[in-house]
Amino acid sequence: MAERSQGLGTLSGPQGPVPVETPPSFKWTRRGFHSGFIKGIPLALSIASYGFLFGIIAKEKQVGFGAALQMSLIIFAGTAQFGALDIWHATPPVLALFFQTLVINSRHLLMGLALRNWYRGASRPVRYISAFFMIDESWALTLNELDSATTDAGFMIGSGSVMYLAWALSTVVGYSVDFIADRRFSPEKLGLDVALPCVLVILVIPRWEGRSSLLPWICAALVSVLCDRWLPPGWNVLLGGISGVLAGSLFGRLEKNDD
Amino acid sequence: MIEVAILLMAIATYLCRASGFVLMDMSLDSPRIRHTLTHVPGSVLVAMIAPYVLNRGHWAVVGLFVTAIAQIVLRKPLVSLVLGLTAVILVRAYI
Repeated sequence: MAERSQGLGTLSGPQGPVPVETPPSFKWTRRGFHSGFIKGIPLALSIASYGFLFGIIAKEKQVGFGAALQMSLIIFAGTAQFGALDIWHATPPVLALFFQTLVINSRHLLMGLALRNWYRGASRPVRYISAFFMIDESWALTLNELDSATTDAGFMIGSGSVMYLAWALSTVVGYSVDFIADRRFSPEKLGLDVALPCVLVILVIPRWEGRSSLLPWICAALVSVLCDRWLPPGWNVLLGGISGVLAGSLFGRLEKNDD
Repeated sequence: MIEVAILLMAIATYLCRASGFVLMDMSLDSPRIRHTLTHVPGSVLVAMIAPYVLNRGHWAVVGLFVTAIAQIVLRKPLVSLVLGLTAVILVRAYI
């Protein structure tokens, strides 16, 4: 990523120009919000298709309507929510869910860091609100916008908002589709019991990064299968995931990933 | 219990999202850390998928395989999913 030029502006307060290392001129405007909102629509549609599935599968897994909607409204993280459905029970494994969500979403740490040239001058409230709306899609769109020299945090909040609306609404629609109630179309006959792993497969395909992914993926799969046999539900994902990351980190080569 | 679980998941998610914004003033962005974190999403997803392939019913595998091929070729999530599920439905109906 190219280092953005910064420190060119000077802060001129009432006391006159202040000779400090100024952060890049930073805005948070309604215009940026609108721009993000509009440009976010195509990706929001693709998110809606996942939200629709989330609603359907949540119902199939006997998650209550309120709980499914709450998840989409306050968690707002596709992979983590599908992962939660995977280990969901009438009495949910609270700790496993918490740690699994931490592990699944840990990539957001890196994504946030990747925006630092843009956000370094931002106030805390702006950062913390932006963070809520930073999902994979809005982040990618924002990085793209960053290249065209915009410095408007409204953009990520705007694009995240349209995706947030799409995610919540499509969850409701998916949950409300009532064909499961008709027993002629049982979930098994429709193949819906396999829908979740199929979605996970769809999500994992773009994560393949060539040969450097081979060892971590094998380790993750092996450890996960073993844990699935011997441990309570949910831990297979956490421990398998950590094994994969460790394998990739300890035995992988560094130079391929320096862009 | 369900509310607690959902709230904790929301907190976990937000912690991850905010952490980068909190830490961006420090220079934590070393190649080592970056390299480690690139493996996170793939490994986690693989850990989720693996038991379906090896532990739970063999017809699911057909669907997963068809879905994977469709996604690699077409890159259209909904289409891939419909193809994968169709494969499962057909296999269950006729084999």
